Amino acid sequence: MSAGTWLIGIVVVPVMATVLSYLFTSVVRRVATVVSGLVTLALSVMVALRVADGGRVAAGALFGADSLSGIFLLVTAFLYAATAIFSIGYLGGSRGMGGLIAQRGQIAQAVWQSTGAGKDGDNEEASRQWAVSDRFDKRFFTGINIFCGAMSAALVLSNLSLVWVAIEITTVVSALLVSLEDTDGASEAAWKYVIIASMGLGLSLLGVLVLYIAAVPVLGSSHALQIGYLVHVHGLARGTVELAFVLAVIGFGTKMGLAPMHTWLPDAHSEAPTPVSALLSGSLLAVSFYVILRFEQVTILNVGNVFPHDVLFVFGVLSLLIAALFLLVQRDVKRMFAYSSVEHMGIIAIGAGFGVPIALAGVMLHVVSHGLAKGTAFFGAGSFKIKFGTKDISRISGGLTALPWSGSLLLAAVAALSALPPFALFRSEFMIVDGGLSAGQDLGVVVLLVLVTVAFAGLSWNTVKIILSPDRLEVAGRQEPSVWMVVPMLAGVVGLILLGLHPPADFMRLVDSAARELTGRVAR
Amino acid sequence: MAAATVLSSPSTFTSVVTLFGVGVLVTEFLMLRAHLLRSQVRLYMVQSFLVAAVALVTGIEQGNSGLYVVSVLSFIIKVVIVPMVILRLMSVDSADLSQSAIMKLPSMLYIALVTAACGFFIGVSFRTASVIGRGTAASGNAVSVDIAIVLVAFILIVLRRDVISQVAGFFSLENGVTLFSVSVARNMPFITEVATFFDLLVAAVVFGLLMRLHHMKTRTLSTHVLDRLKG
Amino acid sequence: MSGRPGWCFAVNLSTYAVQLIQVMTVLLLAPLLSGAIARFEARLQGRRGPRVLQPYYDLWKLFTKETLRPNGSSTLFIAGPVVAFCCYLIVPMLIPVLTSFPLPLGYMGDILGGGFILGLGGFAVALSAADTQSPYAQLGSSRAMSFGALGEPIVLFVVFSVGVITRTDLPYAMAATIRLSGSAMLAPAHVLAAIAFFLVVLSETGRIPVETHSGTLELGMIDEARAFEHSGPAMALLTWGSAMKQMILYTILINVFVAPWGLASSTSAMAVLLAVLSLLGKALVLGCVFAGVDDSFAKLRLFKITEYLAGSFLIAVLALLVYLVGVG
Repeated sequence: MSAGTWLIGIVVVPVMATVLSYLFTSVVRRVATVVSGLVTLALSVMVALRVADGGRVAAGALFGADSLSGIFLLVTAFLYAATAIFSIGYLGGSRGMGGLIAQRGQIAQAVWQSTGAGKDGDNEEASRQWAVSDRFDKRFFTGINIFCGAMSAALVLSNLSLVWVAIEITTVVSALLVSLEDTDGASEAAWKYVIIASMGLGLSLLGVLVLYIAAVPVLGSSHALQIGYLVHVHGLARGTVELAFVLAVIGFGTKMGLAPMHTWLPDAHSEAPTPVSALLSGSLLAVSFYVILRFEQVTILNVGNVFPHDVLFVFGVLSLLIAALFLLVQRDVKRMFAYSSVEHMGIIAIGAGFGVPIALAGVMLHVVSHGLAKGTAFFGAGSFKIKFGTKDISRISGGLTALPWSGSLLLAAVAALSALPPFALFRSEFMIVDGGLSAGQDLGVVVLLVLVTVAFAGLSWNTVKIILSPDRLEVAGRQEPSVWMVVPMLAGVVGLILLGLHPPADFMRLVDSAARELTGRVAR
Repeated sequence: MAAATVLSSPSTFTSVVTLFGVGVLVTEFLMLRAHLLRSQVRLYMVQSFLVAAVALVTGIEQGNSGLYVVSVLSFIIKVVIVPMVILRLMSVDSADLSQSAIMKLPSMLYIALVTAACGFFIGVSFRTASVIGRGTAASGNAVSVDIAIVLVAFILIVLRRDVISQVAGFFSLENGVTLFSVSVARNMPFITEVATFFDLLVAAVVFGLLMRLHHMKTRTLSTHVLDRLKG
Repeated sequence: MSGRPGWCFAVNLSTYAVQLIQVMTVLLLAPLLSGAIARFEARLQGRRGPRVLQPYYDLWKLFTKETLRPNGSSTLFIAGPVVAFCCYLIVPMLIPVLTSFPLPLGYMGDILGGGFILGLGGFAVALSAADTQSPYAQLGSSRAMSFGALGEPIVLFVVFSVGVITRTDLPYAMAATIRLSGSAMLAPAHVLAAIAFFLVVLSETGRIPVETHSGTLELGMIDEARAFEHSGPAMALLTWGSAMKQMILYTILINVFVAPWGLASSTSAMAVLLAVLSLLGKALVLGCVFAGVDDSFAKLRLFKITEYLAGSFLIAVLALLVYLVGVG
């Protein structure tokens, strides 16, 4: 099989899984989703290895990938596979697997209590029944597969306007997934999400069109939006490219969770079913960032470094500032992690704003490791939610006693998110800071470090409260809800430690060549 | 005979396209005050019809058959299917939206007007800043109106707190972008246009479903009640 | 123009004569126009309606009656209708009623001047109504003034936008520019300005959706209420005046904005006669349009009128904006 076929496979496999999930019963659904996730992961790794030294694989004019896509493919596919596995535990093995049904009832109860709507007994019962129903199950798995398929498609499509279409599909599908648990909070979050994100995407479509206008005189209409051509093109009209870049940063930045367009993010990420939250935070934000980077590549080539770097830096600092402050006052576990995502998107944008190769390599590493850590963290939050029936920080305690595996893995994930060694985020933030200093952006580095420390305080304080505190509530026993939920977390933490201590050489080559792509100096 | 020459002159083409564009803008202003779900949907139909007409006129003027397809697709999807989907999903078509505005109508109109003016001038600076490839005067002029349409759509979404108006705002935004692509970014790859339309359909269905969910949950179309999640 | 139909039409009139004819046209045909519109409206509503010439009979009747003055009213009460009537006699000299070329007195004032004189007429009527101490008349005059205050800026904006498009503020020159180029007719700014002006004319002539001009419900009245206390010749002047005002506004809309064709291009009697007929024809068509609008919309509630006016203001501003950014 050629590398081009792999790209097609990355899109087609999730689509097939979608069809299977829609048509067949719960067992098939689970098998199809997990297999699809693993196959996509394998294909993505193969593509990533192929492009690790630079260069581009393509399948016709429609699909193509380079080292930049490779990085994002890895994190998206990993989270796809991990979420597929986690979901089995989260939703219960299958309709036939007895005891787990009851746990799913517990989920519903948890959701209901957390949104404060559980006063009406009939409603509560209805919600519980909904969460254990086969229709919920079918929609959940079908949605997850389309969602991941669209995200992968956005990464491997080589026409920017089609990338936009794929991103829009991720928006509408994920909005439906956010609303899936059918609570008041979920419907509110879904509405805010779909409206704000769609507005952003409207602007970004305008950005795509403006870029097209800029590129047509040079590339001709059939190549004007082909990424493979765009990333090497010179001589586009300056003002037009700048406008396109700003529109893209605002538009896709809305989906990426850059402040001040982030307002939908905490709602959607906290009200969605937990596996969906993991996907939203870990990969969807990254995929949106990927598109911004594509625009940045064109802009750097035609306008120079300063303008795009400044724009990204400003949005980055704003996001980091807002997220750090809000992290201090969170009372909801998932909301806290959502703000942590805003924080990390801010760090990533700042790193991209520094713009020197080492910082960019750090950004690439940060994207991957944030995906791993945030996925793990949300999975942990999901386990806690099932165990304790709430996401309210003040009502959870003694996590390590009640959930020995999930508790300690969640602790590790939070340590990673706080950029403590030996985890990969320590390495990546170190690289970003290093890059900032070497770029002479001392003030920027100071701001970054101060805000990251504030965020660290908020995140770690709250997590310590729920995990390390004595078990006041004495929830039933030391028992994990499901082994399916522990495995993906374990994989995530192992990955974080591996990337932190001794990242594979191939991976670092991939990171370096992606960073080179972004500096606009790669000649090919 | 005189009329024929007039109609085939490029300046008339510009006028007609711009006039339809301004028509779209005016429908947005009317959306700011529409009180009924039904009237909101009808305004959207009129607006989409104008967009389809612009695509048709532009197609005729440039002899570009791709734009005919865009025009027909716009008509079928935006004038027929999307309104049908929305009305079908929201079976409360006489619902009253009059309380959803966050300020008095004249103030809203003036805000929208100032916004449109900003859009116009952004369009002017865009024209001077860019080299529009193979663009005629028509395409350059239309940019101003299109940007104004996009910005006023934002105002619509912000100032009206009900799900119908917000969706109408989003679809207007999309209409503005379509106009932009028709008048400026001509010769877009065909697949792009088709994909965008497909996407619009999906979006319409999802918006419809979420609106229905919202209506079921809150028994209202207003979004004033959406204040549970904060912080 | 070799074979002229008859000797009397071959006569070339002096421009001053045409000027006079212009004023007389408005003066004499205005009641006819009102009568025709009223008739058409009645037909639309399924009634037989009054005779087309009914307004003339009404005027005749009023002129033969005596004028009564309410207690405590001053000379303003009588002066108002007279001043207004004179104003409406002056305006036709400034605008292209019959001819496509400017007549001697056409340079007396530009379109703003014409607007001011129209405004003065309205003000005189309102003043004399306010002088009566009758609550309904005062209500009408205060309403007319407050909505007028909203209407003025619209007219100004319309005038400005047409002015910048045609680069002149003389109604004759405006009409000429538009007549000469078909694409100027279709220019977005011009179309928008025409729409805005149409909406203003609707409100200025006291039509639905702003007011029911033929109604008898005092609370909803604006223009009609102002004449409540007047009687006899003063009342006749008021009625005639408002018919003339309507005709003047129609003429501006037709001959400056929408259809500046069919005007006399020479001073020959034949051409002038044809111009009178074509003006009457166009005004009748326009009147039917207004009657149709009147028949198919509901009257707005009073406090919604500001919204209506805000809407037309918005269109007028859009017209100017569209022109300024070079789109029109």
